[in-house]
Amino acid sequence: MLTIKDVHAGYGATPILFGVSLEVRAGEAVALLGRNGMGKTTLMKTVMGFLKPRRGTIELDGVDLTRRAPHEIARLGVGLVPENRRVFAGLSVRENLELGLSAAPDRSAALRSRRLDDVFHHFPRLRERIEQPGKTLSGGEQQMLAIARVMMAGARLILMDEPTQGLAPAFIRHIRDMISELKRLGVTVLLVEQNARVALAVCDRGYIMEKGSIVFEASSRELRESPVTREKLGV
Amino acid sequence: MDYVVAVLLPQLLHGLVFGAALGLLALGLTVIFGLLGVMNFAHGELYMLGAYAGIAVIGMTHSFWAALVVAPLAVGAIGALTEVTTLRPLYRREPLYGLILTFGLALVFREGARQIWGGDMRRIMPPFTGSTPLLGMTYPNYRLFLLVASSVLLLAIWLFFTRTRAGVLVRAAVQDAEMLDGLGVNVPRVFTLTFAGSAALAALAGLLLAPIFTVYPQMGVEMILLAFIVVILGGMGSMGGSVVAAVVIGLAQSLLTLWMNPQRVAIAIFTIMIVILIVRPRGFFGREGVLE
Ligand SMILES: Nc1ncnc2c1ncn2[C@@H]1O[C@H](COP(=O)(O)OP(=O)(O)OP(=O)(O)O)[C@@H](O)[C@H]1O
Ligand SMILES: [Mg+2]
Repeated sequence: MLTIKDVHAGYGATPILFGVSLEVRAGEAVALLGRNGMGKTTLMKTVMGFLKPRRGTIELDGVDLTRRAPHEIARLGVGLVPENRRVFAGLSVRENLELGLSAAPDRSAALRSRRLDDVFHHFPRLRERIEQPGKTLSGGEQQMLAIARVMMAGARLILMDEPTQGLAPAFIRHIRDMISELKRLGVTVLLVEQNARVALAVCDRGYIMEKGSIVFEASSRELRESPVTREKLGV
Repeated sequence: MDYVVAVLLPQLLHGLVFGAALGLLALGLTVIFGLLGVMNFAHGELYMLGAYAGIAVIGMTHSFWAALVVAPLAVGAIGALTEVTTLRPLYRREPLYGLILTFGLALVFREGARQIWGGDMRRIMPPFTGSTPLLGMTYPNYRLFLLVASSVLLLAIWLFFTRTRAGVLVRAAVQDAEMLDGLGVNVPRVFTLTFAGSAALAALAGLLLAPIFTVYPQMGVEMILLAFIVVILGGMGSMGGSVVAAVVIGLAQSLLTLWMNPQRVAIAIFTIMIVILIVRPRGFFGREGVLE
């Protein structure tokens, strides 16, 4: 579904990614692991179109994404749950969710209420906070909102960047279950995590990134047992 | 009592009228500041172009009302064109580039107007004359109209930002334009339309105020200074704050002219600004982190 080939990207004159290649097949959940500052977020931003790769290609079901604007990529079915959530602090939960609908094929009232029902089914807390501004939500609730936002869009591929960062165990469990649930619903997931244990519990496969390159790829079981994981991640 | 009715009350109303119109100007400035991270130095010139475009339309149609519709649309189109051709290539650069650019645009617009219309002072006749008895005095009808029109416009803008999807998009773009784009919103188009809207509002303010002021190429310079003060006082980027500050400055300006000459009024207004900023560094409703 998502094919990244030899991608080089960075900020201004600073190169960060040096020829990253990875593949996520339809229906899979794939983990992208790596220590701090290795370029995981940079890769996510590049896939989403926030950064333009200097070299290499990114394809979604054969459609080239590299020259497209973020909103076009979103409308092709890619949803980003970004690092630090990036919920719109001044907008209500409802407004945040309705913005999520921007990438949906239509914005009919019927689709909106169906998607809202869906989201509230999975995150009842958001329904209770529907008129509250985003900034008044707890960290865990903001994370739910960030996930719910891309569910509103009906994203086929969800890029999640450290969704469990800074969350209490109960929230981490909820997020983990939600990723499994998304997978069950047929959504493809690329998950960046510091918490390798959580990531490997829900993902089929994983990649390890180091200094802007992929250095290891294996099934989740192998990754759990391999000494390479321990060496590269320090866990 | 006579002093109150004959002098203080009309001046108070003048201040309110001026403040409401100033609010229209400051609102556009605030929103653009939120989007670009810089003050739009050309905003005063869009205000000036509104008045001149109004004169042009009145010349053709002999109707102030036609001008009130056409001039803001024309200046809005100029705003959209300016955004697409000059500002858009700069968004990924430092805000300083935008600052220098809008400063240059202001000069181009001002000198362009001088070339086309000359440097003379001009007047626009109010669409209606006469006065209405009010609170024991009589007050010019056009100024009353101005007060009502500005208030209705401010209310409409508030409804736009809180009740419409387009308004929510602009607020979201102010907070995190990149994320908004990532959610599937064509953010460059939001920027263009917002710039056009802010230009149209400035033009509307310019034309509405023209019958009580004079029209000349530098008319925007004085106003933009006041509008900057309003935006700073309101708390950079706060829309509600801008409206409150506009009324405060409008009233201050109007009342102070009773007791001092224009130069001293300008000094007094800056003093008010400095004092308020010492007490409340973020202005009336400044958001945390806007200036840090
Ligand atoms: N906006 C930016 N401008 C310049 N350099 C940046 C920017 N964002 C990140 N970097 C640099 O790029 C490198 C990779 O950062 P990135 O955020 O992709 O790492 P990461 O793997 O996501 O790390 P973490 O696990 O801490 O989130 C780092 O050295 C970082 O300092
Ligand atoms: Mg990161």
